Amino acid sequence: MAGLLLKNVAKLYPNGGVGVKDFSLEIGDGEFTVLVGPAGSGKSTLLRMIGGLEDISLGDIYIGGVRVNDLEPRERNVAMIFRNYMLYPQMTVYENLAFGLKLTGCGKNEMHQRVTETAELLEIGHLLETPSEQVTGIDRYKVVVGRALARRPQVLLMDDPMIRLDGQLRREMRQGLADLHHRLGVTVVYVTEDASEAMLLGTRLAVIRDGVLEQTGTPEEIIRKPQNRFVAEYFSCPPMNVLAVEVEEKDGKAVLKAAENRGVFSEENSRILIDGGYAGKEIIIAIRPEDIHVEAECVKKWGDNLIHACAEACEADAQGAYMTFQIGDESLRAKVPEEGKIHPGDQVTLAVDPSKVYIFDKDTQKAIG
Amino acid sequence: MISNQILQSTIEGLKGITRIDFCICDTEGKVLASTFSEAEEYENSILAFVDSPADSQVIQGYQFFKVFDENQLEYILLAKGSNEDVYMVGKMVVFQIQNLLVAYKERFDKDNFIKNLLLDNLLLVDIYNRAKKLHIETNVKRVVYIIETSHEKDGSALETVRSLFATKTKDFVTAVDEKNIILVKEVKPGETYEDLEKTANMILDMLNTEAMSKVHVAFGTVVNEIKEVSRSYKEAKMALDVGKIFYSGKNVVAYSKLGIGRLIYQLPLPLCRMFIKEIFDGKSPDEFDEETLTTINKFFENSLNVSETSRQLYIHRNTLVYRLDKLQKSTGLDLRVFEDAITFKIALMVVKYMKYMENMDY
Repeated sequence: MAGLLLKNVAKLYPNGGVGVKDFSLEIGDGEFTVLVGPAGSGKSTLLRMIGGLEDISLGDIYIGGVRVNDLEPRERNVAMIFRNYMLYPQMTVYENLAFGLKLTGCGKNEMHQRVTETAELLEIGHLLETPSEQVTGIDRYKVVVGRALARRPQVLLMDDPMIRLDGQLRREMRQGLADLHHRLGVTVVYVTEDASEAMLLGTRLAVIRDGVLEQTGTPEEIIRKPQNRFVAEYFSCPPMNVLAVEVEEKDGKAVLKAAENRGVFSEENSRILIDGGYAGKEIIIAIRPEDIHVEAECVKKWGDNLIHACAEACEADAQGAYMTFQIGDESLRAKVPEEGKIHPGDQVTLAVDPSKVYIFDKDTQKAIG
Repeated sequence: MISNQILQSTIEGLKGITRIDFCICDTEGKVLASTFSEAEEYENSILAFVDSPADSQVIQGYQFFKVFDENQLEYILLAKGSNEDVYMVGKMVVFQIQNLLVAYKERFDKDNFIKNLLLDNLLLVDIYNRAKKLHIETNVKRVVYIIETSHEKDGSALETVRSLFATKTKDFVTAVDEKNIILVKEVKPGETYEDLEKTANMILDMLNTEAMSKVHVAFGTVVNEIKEVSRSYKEAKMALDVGKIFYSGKNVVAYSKLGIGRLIYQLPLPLCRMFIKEIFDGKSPDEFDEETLTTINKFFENSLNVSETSRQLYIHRNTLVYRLDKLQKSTGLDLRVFEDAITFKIALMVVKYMKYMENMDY
């Protein structure tokens, strides 16, 4: 196992397109790092550059302290699992696990040892003589992971391997993968578009957009301290409420103005806005639906941060009921305690937890403070 | 024809069943495969046996057998022991090896046939006759994939593709040069181009992970008859070339999705030069600065949408408008107008093609 260092890595295409821009990231030995971002953001390109399948236009990549820019994929001691995989037909599970080792010229005894050890580790030892066509579900996936692990890689690279799976199988595999990482401690770089999958699997996330590293941190840090509006919105399900509000200064404190509503901030945020010269300017605020409350005790508790709004429509899912409210020209979604208590057309007072309001510069979209 | 490795594993397997030692030699007494160590000692006996008219004989405690391939003496088999059982087992081993020879020859013939078919080296009448002889169906839908490896003679890549497809009797894996693996794949009823692209992506991902090879995959259109297979091959080859020029970021290219690049690829260079001279008045789009080129590409990517392009470039809408106005002044083409945009897009592609062709010349 080994750590990974990406130093100012870039991918430039001959047509002038840029796949990855000046990307720097250090991944510790044994970390499970998830590269997460929307489709076309450069995650897979970056992963392929680490694996040696794409040339590096600029910068350096180090694996276990060794610069690997000029090394062939098979010389980098990495193993890869991509989204399209299949088992070799007409081969047993044993032969499937051994195939990659055979290609590397691994000796018979060594190969047998690695295959049986890997099979034991993945709890598929009993399937070794089974033809691959008869292997289904999670066992099939285990064989694919086993083929990669049998190589004894320093780093395991995974490009959205679960994208084609659905429901229960996907959940089982996520759990299985997390457990496996816990047991093996192998360094993993995993690519996904799915923010919730990233939060579940990663010990560290690297958020990418348009080939640029937007933020890196633990799942907790990404959720609690998003460095820009994109990160805040990307990791919010259901979507965050994003509003443009005006900052007013009153008695040395920042007051936020949205339609006819006024809100004050925590002392700290207020100071940041005043010191940052935002008084009289517009900023962007983002609030999660679950941080907007209709309960009387919350209205009492956060009486300085009330929004008077008109209820519009209600929708419910497994996580609860969400109501849309109209304030001025904008609309807000808030989690409501139960469906049917508030009706469309009702005038409602909403309370906002001031510590859960994220503030962003309107022009740069970066977090203020 | 059969590798020594195959012969060795065959006699080892048979020894495992019968507990009889075997040795296979060529007609000059050279040991090709053996399950015992002192096989070389019998060279003189083998040479004498080759010259004798007998098909089998007991010499120095071994049963000697002749293995023929279409009446041509191919191998000598030695089976340890002189009793009736050893004789019977020896005969069975001879039969097994002869069948192996037939199977290998057929495989070799099929490979040859597919190669000649792809390269248009066969007469129409020969295609159908030979296909029938080799038990290859003629009226089956097929598509040709070309897998280009970054290294010559990438054995791992070939082995991986063979393991994935060649076991299916209706698919053929071959190579006509050292960097390209060719897969002639049967298209099942109901299979769409989307499915074919999935197969191409699967080949790419499997070769990346298993053989750890950098590859590009291209495929042609589906053909209905065996005589058209070479057309699908030529299309796949063109897709590979056109992909390198216009879609360098893509690892999988389908001929059916080449679009306008396919037309430009077939334009004569003098015509291209004339066109570029007329459009850019002797200038080259290379002379545009990086900022302008990025703006143009992003504007095209976003279907000439000013708001979306400015958002993605992190610039104000007016800045984008200013850049487009500036470009209009220098080229006379307003990219916000569809006609001008398409002329500009084609011109950029033509320049790319010219550059590629000029580099090829050297």
